[in-house]
Amino acid sequence: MNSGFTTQILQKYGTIPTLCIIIICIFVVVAVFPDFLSPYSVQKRFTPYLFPDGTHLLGTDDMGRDILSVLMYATRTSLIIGIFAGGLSISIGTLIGIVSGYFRGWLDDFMMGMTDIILVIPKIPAIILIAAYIKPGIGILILVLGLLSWETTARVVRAKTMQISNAGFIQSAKSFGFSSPAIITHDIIPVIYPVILPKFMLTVAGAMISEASLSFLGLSDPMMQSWGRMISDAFSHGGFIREMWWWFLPPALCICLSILSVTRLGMIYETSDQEIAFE
Amino acid sequence: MSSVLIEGKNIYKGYRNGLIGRKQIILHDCSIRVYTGETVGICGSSGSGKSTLGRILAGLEMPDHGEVLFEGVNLFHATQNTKKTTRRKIQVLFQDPGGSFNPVRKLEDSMKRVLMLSGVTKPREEIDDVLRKVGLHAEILSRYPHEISGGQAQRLALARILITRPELIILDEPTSGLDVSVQAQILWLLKALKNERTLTYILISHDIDVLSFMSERIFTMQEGSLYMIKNAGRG
Amino acid sequence: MSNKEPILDIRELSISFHNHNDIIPAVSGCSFSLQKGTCTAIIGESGCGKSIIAHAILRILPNNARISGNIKFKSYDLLHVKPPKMENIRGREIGIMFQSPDRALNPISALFRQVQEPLITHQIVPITEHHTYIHTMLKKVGFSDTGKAAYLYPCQCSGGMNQRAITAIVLSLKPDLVIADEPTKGLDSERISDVQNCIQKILAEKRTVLLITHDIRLAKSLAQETVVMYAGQIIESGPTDEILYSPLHPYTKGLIQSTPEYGFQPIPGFAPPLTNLPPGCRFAPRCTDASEMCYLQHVEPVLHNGRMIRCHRY
Repeated sequence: MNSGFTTQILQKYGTIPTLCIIIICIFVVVAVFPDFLSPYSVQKRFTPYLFPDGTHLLGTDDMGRDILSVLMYATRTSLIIGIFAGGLSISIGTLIGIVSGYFRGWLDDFMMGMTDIILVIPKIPAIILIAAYIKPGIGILILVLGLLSWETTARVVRAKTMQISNAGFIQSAKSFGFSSPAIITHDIIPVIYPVILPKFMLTVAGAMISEASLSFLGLSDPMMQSWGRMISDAFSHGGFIREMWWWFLPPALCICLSILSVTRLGMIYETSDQEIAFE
Repeated sequence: MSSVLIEGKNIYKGYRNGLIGRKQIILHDCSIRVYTGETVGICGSSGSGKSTLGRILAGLEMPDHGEVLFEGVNLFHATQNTKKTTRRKIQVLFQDPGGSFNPVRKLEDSMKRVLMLSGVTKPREEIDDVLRKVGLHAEILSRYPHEISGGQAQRLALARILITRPELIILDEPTSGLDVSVQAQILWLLKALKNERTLTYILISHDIDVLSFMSERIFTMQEGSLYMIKNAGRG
Repeated sequence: MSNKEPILDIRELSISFHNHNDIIPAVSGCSFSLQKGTCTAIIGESGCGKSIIAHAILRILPNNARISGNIKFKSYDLLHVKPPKMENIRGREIGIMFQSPDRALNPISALFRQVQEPLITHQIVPITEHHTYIHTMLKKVGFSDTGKAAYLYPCQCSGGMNQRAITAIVLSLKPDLVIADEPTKGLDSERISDVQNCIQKILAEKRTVLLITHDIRLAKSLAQETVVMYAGQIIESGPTDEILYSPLHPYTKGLIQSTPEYGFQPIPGFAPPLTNLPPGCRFAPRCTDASEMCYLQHVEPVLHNGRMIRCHRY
């Protein structure tokens, strides 16, 4: 990442979003290459409850694992859940929203009915119910979080699609004889993209918070290392009593930083000229 | 004696408010016959249904009852292929010129897509040709829709329509909202193009002066039905 | 031209917009004045700068605008008045009528409240008298059953009714000057006559009206004075009867020719982009009578037979 590239982004989006991009990039790099970056393997056991010092920058936890290493591997879990759950949610929501808003008629009524049903199901209690039978791992979490959070996206995308379907350029495309999939891909999606991106970011942030909450409550797979799990372990395995703030504070900070960066990044389109131009 | 190019027979169209709301009738037994090579005007106040009729005649909206025949082909009940080829011969010029182009794509992209769809063999020459006909320079293509004026946008929309070699152009309030001088330019351009390429126009407007200037026959839309008020060309 | 003190006097007004890369000279050296109780029309094509002048008078231009010159309204130097005072002037002393009354009205407020709100802000009449005052105002603009009309919402009203509601709001503040910015853009003939009636009512109340429009017919029917603008400059101004019935400037002539009454004859060519203005007369590239001097030499407005005209031939 040379300075020329950074200054380009800096100019285009401003200081804070650039900072957010850098923060997210750091997390992504750590998530992709924990083997190279973490000082020790997570399997290695040392003396438990060590204070931070030169060999263990964040000390060790109750099982003797180096906390910094655990933190780095946990980055991968948390990010994966966030991104994939977010991706799943956005994909379903956008698809349903566009089909509903573009074709209207009975298809619209049917899909909005489905959306209303999903809207009613609460996420966290649903996971608690599932957790009663199996401790959900990454896969189940992604599925449940993704499948239960697409309603708002669907509604927003549908509203925007309906709004632009009446615009001249969509009607023109129809009269030229472009097929519906072509119109949707070439004309509708590029215009509603500024609506989808913020929603995606918010959904990713939401999924990460949900996962952290669930892990903290002890409802996720105990073998799965995530930031929320770390905080949960710290509290339930004596970290809190021993005032080992270097155990539960870093993951909490990571959660806050990552979610704030992702959310802020989703707001970059808010003052775009394109929105005004469309009006 | 020209033949009938497009005919709308007993068209009814209504909109229902919600699932159990009352149905509002917009078009009530509209019939119209347009002959090849003429310009037919439809006037009426805003909201009288003339734009809806225009969309139905273009094949963009289905009537509740009635049919539309283009060169004898039923626009809504033909096979998929026939529908496609027939509809392409009818093009529409919409009211808001800037809105006819995708706001997030350069004008060049919008034009190129239509060129590819029409299967034009020499796209470069075709674009230069249509731009020249409507009086625009090629440099306008590198801009975005919000960067050009209403008059320029309307000309470009016309140029894009010409690429598909239509036989009938439905003009829905083409100059409303444009300045008087720009309006004059567009109207003369439309006249010139019509002579050059044997086009047929259905002109929808609330401005009776524009209609008188352009059309041989004029209908007025009142309470959902059409009434002829001027007949200079046909019997 | 009477010798009375004009209510609005604009001298050498120039406005330019500064973007990252260019400077756009939207208005160059415009001067004109309005006499009390008259209607003056500014006509010209889109982009000629007429709306920008209105925005400058109201001080609602964007931050990247640079203004030079003088705008004198009654005894105020409008360009240098402090913002709180300007807020007071807007609405109370200068009323504004924009395009599309349907969009200017608050969709979730009944008409009574919409007329009342500015009254409360500007404290025109004491609250106890609001009810009678508003009903009188509604009657004045043409609502027959004011009891019913006052409690309708904009969506329940026709376009014409909304137009009259806006007029009521504007008039209720008793402004001395009313600026109507393109009030008839895109409207059909029925609605245009609604607007005409409303402006006539405003004139009947002895207000001064500045009408900004590209509709020549409207200007002919309402305005006593007309100012014609092209590419940011005033190219002809004077009494409407003279300017619009016997135009001297080639552009004004061309504008008149392009109206329906004269057969929609177009003026060839396009208005020049403001970022690339020709050196001499800005209309020269499209003028049929242009001489070499027209292309090269800048031209100042002169007084000729009771009108101001900016053309080398005079």
